[in-house]
Amino acid sequence: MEVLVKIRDLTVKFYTYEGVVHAINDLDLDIRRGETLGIVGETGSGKTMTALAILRLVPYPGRIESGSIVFFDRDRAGELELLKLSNDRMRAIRGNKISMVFQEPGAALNPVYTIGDQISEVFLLHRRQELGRQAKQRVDGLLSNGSGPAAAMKRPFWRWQSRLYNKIAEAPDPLEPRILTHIPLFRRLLWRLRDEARLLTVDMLKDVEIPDPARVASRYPHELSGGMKQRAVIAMALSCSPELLIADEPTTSLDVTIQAQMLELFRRIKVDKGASVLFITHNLGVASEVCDRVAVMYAGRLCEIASVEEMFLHPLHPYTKALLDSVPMPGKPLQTIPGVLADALNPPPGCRFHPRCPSAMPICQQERPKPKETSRDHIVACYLY
Amino acid sequence: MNTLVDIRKLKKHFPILGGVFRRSVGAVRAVDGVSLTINRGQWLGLVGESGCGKTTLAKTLIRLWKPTSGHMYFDIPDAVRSEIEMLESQDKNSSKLHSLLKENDLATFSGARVRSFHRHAQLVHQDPFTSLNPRMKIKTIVGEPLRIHKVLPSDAVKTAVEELLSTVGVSSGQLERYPHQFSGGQRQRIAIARALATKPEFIAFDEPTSALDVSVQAQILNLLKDLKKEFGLTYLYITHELLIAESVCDYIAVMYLGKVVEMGRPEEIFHAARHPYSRSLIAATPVPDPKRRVGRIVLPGEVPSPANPPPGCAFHPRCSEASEKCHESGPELKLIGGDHYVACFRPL
Repeated sequence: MEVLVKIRDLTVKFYTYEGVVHAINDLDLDIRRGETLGIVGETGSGKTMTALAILRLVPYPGRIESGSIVFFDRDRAGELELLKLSNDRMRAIRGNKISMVFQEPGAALNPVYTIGDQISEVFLLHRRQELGRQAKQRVDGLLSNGSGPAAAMKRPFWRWQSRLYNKIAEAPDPLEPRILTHIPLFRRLLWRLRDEARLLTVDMLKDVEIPDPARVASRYPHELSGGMKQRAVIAMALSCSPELLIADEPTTSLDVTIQAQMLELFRRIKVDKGASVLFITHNLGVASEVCDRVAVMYAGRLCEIASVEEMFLHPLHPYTKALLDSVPMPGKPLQTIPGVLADALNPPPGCRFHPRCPSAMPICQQERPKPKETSRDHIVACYLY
Repeated sequence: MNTLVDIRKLKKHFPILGGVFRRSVGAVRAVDGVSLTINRGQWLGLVGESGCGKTTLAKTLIRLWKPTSGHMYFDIPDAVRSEIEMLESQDKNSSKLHSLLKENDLATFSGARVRSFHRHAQLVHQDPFTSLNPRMKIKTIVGEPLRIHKVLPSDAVKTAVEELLSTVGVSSGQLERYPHQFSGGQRQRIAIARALATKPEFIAFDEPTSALDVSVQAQILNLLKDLKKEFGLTYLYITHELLIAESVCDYIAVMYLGKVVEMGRPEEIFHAARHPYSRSLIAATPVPDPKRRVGRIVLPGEVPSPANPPPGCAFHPRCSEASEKCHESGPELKLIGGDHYVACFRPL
């Protein structure tokens, strides 16, 4: 299968007053085109950091120390080294080619703008030329259909507008509209772009199964329920038909029945839009429901990657096994993992899991196990295999 | 079996204030007529979605709040309860009934009576990050119930606290620490130690593991199992994760919009649920087993507001089986065999 994002030797460190936190260590991960890859792990295992590193949004005092993230862009048919792009080019990718859905929908939306305004913003930023084209068509329609004295008076203005929108449609950032956007009152002359974005927004909201999308578009976030807000955030993330959608615990704050609706939606998105999804979750049940492949992380390192069936039916890494055993399942005694989560400030040498591992060997304390492909598509980082 | 807690038609409504004079213009019917019994030594699981009144029920039962109406009996002999019931059906205003209720009905208690009740029943809150006072050392936190209830002379408190913390697995060298120095799992252990301090017979847990990781959750659940065996406790366990309820509880009640819609033993609820809501709730629960992916029922819509519940059966707008009757009147809980109760006109 074709690879969409190739992560190699990614290392992210946080320079705090207490010391250096190793958030991600030498991570190798491939996200394939059209698949849902799940990342599971406990708190502090580096799941979210991996997502933020792909978008280059690692917060201060964190830094992407080394490694490479290569993004294979379908439109330009080229490789993009995300870690070496300029900030402007990265900004053109965020929300456009790669977008993200955050854990808490209430915190991801701006409380002082309506849902419609916030989703329109994505179109206005990334789809300006397309909006210009549509606006021009609308003005041209007015020019050819308008009749009567009122239309005759407006005609020169419409002709000027048509020329203006044509410029926007043809070049990515033409001079005349750019000057206009900086002059307070004249900025409003570009209102047709906003109108077109609004229409696309309503379509988007309809796509994520929001009832009465036109009305919801004019609502503020606090007027919607948690499930609705999460749908709106998903609509926003999908609005530019991204090639990769990163979903960071998108169902954690939702109820089971709403979660089921959301998982159904994610499955449909993958089929309809053909987007790859990077699904981050700590809920193993959710991972087994939506993912095609699953990666397990522990203390900033990758333990195991395999297809869902392989992962849940034949786990290899001792940590994966222990994690699966600690999920309460009827008719099965609850197993616990001895010890506590590895200290990120002062991680154990060698394999991070060795202090808690039932089958630890002397070598586990000395050297980090390299990821090894034991069978087709099943990669595990453990000396047992 | 020996009944420890008996709740009869419990209601807890929160007024919605409005207008210039802050008059009550409506009520949020958080708990709207719940009847439940918990036997001694039972581990009752209370499941439902957010906003269905699970937490309100627990907080009212522990008497952090005074119920709007209904009766609650804690550790009252069967004879007394049946006498009250008999008197109630005959004459609502008899003085004997009043004195009996005042004596036995937890819902009427106030002040010192409630406080002494708290020696026997305790609550463990959902979020261990907010339920422990950040300015108190953990020895003070765990020792506080002992001092308030004057269970022990003050010089014996320290050893008792050490003992309590070692039962829940917190080492005694950490007595002088503050809550922020502990991880989520450790804090929940401290909260459990505090609940155990007065040697209660009954503990209500309000989603004690929802803020914790899976592996820590397993540790806490195992701890609860051990404590229950060791001290002969009775648990009310609130959770929205059905897998937990199925694997640890002896008896399960499913709540929807302030009412219990189905009660039964775990195997009855999980393999032979009769209420459409419980069935879809179970079907919506993700299970970490790719082979069990099929057969999901996705419920349309969302939980209605408890301030303005739909008429009739509260579930009918989302129910695929709803009939005319469901729009008009609400079904009562009915016994359908064994210990299995269901509130539905057309059980599946």
